[in-house]
Amino acid sequence: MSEAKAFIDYYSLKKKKTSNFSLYYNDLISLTICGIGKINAAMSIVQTFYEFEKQKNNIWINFGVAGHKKEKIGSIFLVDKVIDNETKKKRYPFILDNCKINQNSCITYNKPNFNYTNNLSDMEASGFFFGCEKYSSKEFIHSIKIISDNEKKKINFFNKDEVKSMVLNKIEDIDTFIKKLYSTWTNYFEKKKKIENTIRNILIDYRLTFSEEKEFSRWLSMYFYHTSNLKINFLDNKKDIHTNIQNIKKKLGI
Amino acid sequence: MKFNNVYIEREILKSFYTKNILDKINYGKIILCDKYTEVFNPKNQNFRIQKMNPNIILAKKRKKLIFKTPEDYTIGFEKNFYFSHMLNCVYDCSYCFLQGMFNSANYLVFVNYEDYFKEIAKIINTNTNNRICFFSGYDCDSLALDYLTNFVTNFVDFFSRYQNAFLEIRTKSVNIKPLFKFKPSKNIIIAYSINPQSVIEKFEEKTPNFEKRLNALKKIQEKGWNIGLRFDPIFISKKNKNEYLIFLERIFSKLDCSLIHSVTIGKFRMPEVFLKKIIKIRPEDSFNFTNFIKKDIEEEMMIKHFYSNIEKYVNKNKIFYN
Ligand code: SF4
Repeated sequence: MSEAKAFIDYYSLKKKKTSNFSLYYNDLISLTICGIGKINAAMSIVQTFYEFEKQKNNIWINFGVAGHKKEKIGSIFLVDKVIDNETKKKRYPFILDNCKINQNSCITYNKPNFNYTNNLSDMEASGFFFGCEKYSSKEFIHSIKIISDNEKKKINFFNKDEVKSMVLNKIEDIDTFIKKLYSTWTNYFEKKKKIENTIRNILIDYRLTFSEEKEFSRWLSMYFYHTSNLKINFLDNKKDIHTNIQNIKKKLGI
Repeated sequence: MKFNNVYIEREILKSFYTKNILDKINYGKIILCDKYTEVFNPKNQNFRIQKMNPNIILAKKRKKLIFKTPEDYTIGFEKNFYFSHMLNCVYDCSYCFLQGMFNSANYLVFVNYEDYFKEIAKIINTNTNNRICFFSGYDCDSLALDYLTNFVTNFVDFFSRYQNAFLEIRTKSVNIKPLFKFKPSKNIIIAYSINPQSVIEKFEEKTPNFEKRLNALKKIQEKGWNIGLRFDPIFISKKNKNEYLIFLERIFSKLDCSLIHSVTIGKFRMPEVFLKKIIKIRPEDSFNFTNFIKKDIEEEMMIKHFYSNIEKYVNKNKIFYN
């Protein structure tokens, strides 16, 4: 929770009332406190997905503490390979260009691990990755870890201010990473989402079978992408869908 | 060339080819994996986003190194095979089927060339009475990344030992220097996919322009190598049919027509599943794809006309409509 507090303040997130996990949000970002362990991490993904209108292909970031043999307390790493210690399953996030955060691999354990290695060790990352891959594309699923303990030292987890200030020290770097990711996401998905919403709104005015809806959507989508014009005054919901598709084809010159 | 990450299969980390490639690239970090499939195959990947900044994967191809080509595909040989030492491409043609076939846009290079040689030799040795052809460059561009893969050096050398086996190197790249280290080999065909400039500009992003490809063809031919022309895929339409004819004239006025090994013409074709996947990841091109796959008698007539124009320059038995 203390790690989360830094983000809640930084992004001015407000609390959402839910039954299981604590969720915070603003217009753009939501934060779920998943608790300890990979099962909690995976379950919190599902809960978040359903709480926020089941939007696919969103950006998902896991933030949490990790141990390492010798890395300095408070330094942060972007996970480039996650290994589940129990199942030995692995995932390899796709890291975008010019990421300023150092990379490291992470092993997710079922119990706290004090046999430090040159990998990060945590208890959530694998559950997070396996959970998210149902809902988004690999390029937008990431885990950032902050070192809380190493062979020589360990932070005092009960000292909330110490944890919060450790995170605050790195929050600008994390924010830069998030903004970069968001800009890639926007470039690729913004137009797509706009067109999908327009199509959804058009379909409300028609009573169509499943296959008619699919066919009509296909032509609408082609029209919107090809013409970059979201005006639809040539459509007529009083006419049948075939007439409307013919009109689209005419407009496209097909 | 710069890569964020290089993924390497543990088994080939120490291989000579791996070291060679690592020496030639800039990279952020090496990430080891057990099998390339762990990185390359997962479904939840976006080819278009990865294509903006692909990573490289160095791996060993373990199974299915050589494939038979589809029955009806030929450039005049009795038996035809293809293989890929690399998957994915530096170019970005909007019609490229790789984006429908693969989940990842990372460059995947198979470095165990010796295993390819063994498999190819086996096929050659069991087909001593047939003239056979091996095609490369279907799942990548054979020459574009040659400075990394050393494909030409290795495979031209290997094939020059055989009489009855041919290698077609399919490319759009004008990176032809590696060829000139060798004496021209009669059983190597350097085949260029080629289209008029307006088509290149519209559909073949990042590729060398028409004149550059034509100049490369000329140089290769002048050095004594076999060349092939691949009008495949052809995008002829009412609008550009004259441009296609002028384009032919330009090509055949520059090259020695009598020395052209083969010419192929092929329409855009793609399995339905790939097409669906591509339209999903590049919906902005759905209009073009709908036009590409349209079955059109008029187009067929234009292709026939195009074919008969080629016949004016090249012997009919060297022209194949696949
Ligand atoms: S050159 Fe070939 S392999 Fe490369 S993008 Fe174009 S069609 Fe695909």
